[in-house]
Amino acid sequence: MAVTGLVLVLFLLVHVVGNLQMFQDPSHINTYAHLLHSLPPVCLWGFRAFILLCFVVHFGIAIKLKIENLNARGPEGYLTKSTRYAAWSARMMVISGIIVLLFVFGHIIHFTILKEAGADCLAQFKDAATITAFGDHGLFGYLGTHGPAEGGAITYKVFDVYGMVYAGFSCPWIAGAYVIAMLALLSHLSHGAHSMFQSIGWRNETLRPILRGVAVVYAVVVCGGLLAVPAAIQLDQHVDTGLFPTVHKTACCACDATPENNVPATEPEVIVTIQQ
Amino acid sequence: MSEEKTLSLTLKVWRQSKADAKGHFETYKVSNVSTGSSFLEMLDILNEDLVAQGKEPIAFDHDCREGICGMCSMTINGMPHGPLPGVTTCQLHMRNFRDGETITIEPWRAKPFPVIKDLIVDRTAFDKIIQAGGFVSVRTGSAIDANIIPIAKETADLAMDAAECIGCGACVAACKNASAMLFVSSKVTQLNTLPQGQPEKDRRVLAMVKAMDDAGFGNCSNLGECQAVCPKGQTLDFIAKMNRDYAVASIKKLFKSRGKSRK
Repeated sequence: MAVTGLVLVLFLLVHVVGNLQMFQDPSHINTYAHLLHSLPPVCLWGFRAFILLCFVVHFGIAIKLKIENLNARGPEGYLTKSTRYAAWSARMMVISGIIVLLFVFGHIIHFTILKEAGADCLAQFKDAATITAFGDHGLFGYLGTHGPAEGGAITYKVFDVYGMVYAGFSCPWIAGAYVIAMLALLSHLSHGAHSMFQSIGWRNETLRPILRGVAVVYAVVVCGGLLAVPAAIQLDQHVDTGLFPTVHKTACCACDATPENNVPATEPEVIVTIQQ
Repeated sequence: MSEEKTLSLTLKVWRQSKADAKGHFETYKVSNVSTGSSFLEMLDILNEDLVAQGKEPIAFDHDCREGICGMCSMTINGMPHGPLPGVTTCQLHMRNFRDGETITIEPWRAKPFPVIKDLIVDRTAFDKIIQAGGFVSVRTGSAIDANIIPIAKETADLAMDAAECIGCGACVAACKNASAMLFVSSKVTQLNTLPQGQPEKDRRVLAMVKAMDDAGFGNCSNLGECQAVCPKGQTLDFIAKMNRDYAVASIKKLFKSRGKSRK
C-alpha cells in the first residue's frame, strides 16, 4: 500500500509539472507531449504499465484490507460512535479513493483512449500544431525519425495537446468533474502522503507532525497545480484572462453547452505559432 | 468542605446472558450518584439495586481498580474507557458526567474479543500474541545483578515506556479497523529494544505479527485513534518501530543463509 502509494505520489509531481506548461507558449506542452510519445515503445509502455500496475496493486490491497477490517469488528458494531483524534481525511480514505479511481478511468478515456483511438471529436487536433526541435531531437532523439537529423532547427507537425486540453476544459461539466476529483485527491493525499512513512517505519513522534505538515503542503501544491489548468480555462471562458493568448476557442466533443462551440471544427487551426 | 453533588443518570447497557446468546440494550435509571464515586462504583451501586430486586447484575471485568491491571473494558458513549483521556474506566470519576445525562455502555467490539457476558469480553487473543513471541527465552532463575548488562538510559527509557502497556485492549476497541497494532507494537518494542531481546528480535516480530493476523485483528491505517484512547499514552512511535523491525526481519529472512539441508 505504502510503496505503491509512494510511486503514485511521485508520479503526480511529474504530472503536475507537465500540466503547468499549459500556461506557457503552446509549443512547450506540445513538444513535451511529443517527446514523451517519441520515447522507445518499451519505455513508454513500460512506464504506463508500471503506473497501471501500481494503481491496480494499490486498489487491490485496499479492497483486501477493507474486507479484513470490516470483518475484524465482529458481528456487533457500536451503537454510539465517537472520534477523539482521527482526521476526517484519514477516515474518508476509501471514499476519496473511490472518487479518484472513477476519475482516473474518466481521465484516461478522455485524454488518452479517445486520442489513441482516433476519435472523430479529436481529429481536429491531429497534426494541428507545429513544434521546433533541434536535429537530434533533444535527449530523446535516439531515432531521428522525424526528418533530416543533420542539426539545426526542424519543425514537425504534431498532435495539438494544448488545443485538446483547452477544448476539454472549456466544457463546464468536465472542468467541474475535475475540480471534485482534485478535492478528493487533496483529501486522499493529505493522509496518504504521510501515512506511507508510518507503514514502512520511517517515522517517529518527532517526525510525525513534520511529515503531516509536509504531506498537507504537498497535497495542496499538487492539487492546486492540477486544478489551476481547468480553473484558468473556465475563467478564460468568461473573462479574458490573457493566459491563453494563442488559443482558438474550439468545440468540446462531450458537451455543447458553451457558446464558443458554434465554431465549426473544420475551420483552419491558428494555434501554430512557429511556422515551417 | 463543599456539599457533595449527586447525579441522576440514565444508563443504556449492553446485556448478553452468555457468549452465544443474542444481546440487547437495557435502560436503567440511577439516582443519587456521588460525583466522587468511580464509574465502576456507580455500576456496583446499580448492581446492588438489581440484586435487591432479584434481577441479574451487570457483569463487567475489573480487578485492581487503580488503573494498572488492564481488566476494566467498557466503551462509554462510544469511547473506550470513557471521555477522559489517559485513564482506565476504574479511574474515571462521575464528576466527568452531567446530571441527567444518558450514558451508553458497550463492551469492546472486535471479532477476536467475543463477548462472554454483558460487558465482559474474552481477550485470549492477546495472550496468544504474547505466547507467539512476547518473551525472552533465556535463564528464568532469579534476577541477575543490576548493571551486569550495560543499557543506555535512552534505551531503558524507551523499553520502560513501551512496557507501560497494560494490555486492556482499548486500542482495538477504538480502532475503526479493530487493529491490535498498538498493543503488539508496545510488546515488540519493549523486548526488541533491550539487549536481552536481541537474539530473538526478528523471530519475535514476525511471529507476533502473524499471531495478530491469525487472531483476526484488522489492519492499521494510521488514524491514531488508538493512541488517543490509550490509558497509558502509548504512541504511534511504537507502531512505526514495529513496522521497521518487521520490514528488516522480512528482508533478512528472505536472504537468510540456509546452511546445509535445513530450511
